[in-house]
Amino acid sequence: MTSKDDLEKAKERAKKRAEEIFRPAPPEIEEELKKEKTLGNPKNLVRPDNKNE
Amino acid sequence: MLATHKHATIKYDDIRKSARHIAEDNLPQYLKGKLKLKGVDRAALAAFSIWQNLPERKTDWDWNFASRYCFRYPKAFDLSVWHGNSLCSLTLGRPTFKGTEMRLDFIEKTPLNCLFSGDMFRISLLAYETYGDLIGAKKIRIMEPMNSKLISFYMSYGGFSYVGPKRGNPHYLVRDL
Repeated sequence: MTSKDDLEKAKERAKKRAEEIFRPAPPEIEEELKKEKTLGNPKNLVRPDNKNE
Repeated sequence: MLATHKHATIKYDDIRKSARHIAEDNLPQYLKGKLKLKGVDRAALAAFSIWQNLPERKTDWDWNFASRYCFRYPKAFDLSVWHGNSLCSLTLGRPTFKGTEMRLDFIEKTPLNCLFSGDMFRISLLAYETYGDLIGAKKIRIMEPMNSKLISFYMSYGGFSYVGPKRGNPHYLVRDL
């Protein structure tokens, strides 16, 4: 379980980050964000963990 | 299932739900109340089965893998985003082995038109950062992004740094939480 304090801190942080993350980007970037159907590579999901990190 | 594995599954399931809930609550006004954040559950996999047969879909990836993945990695984070009964996107990732960095490994958006298509990446990022925060990770990683315009943008304005590929590991963008 996560403590109430941790949850409150996460809520505060998410509120602040949401303002940054959802700030409108230049039209060219907004277009890329709409256009891209995937992000990342599913092969990384099956790649074994690097135990040093 | 070992008792410790079961305990971890239950514990992290609670944290996953909290992270989705917090992220959903903090969506901007134009998305709030319109989109729901859930796990990659039965409903998501049923909706995915429709994606699989669409000619518009260019990805060869079976999301049914997600349930096995979350069993194998109890700290993994799975996310589905819904607009009403329409599945908008699916996302999967897990923390690094030592748990210090949260990885956002793969996002797939619906092959169909989606009113909020341009927001899916940002929603996943918010949810993954929130989950990372709750499990005590210190950084968020976006694994192997391929779009050079988006990489440049997130490095210039999003506070991310680029880490190149090394020893068979893929490149990624990373940012402090």
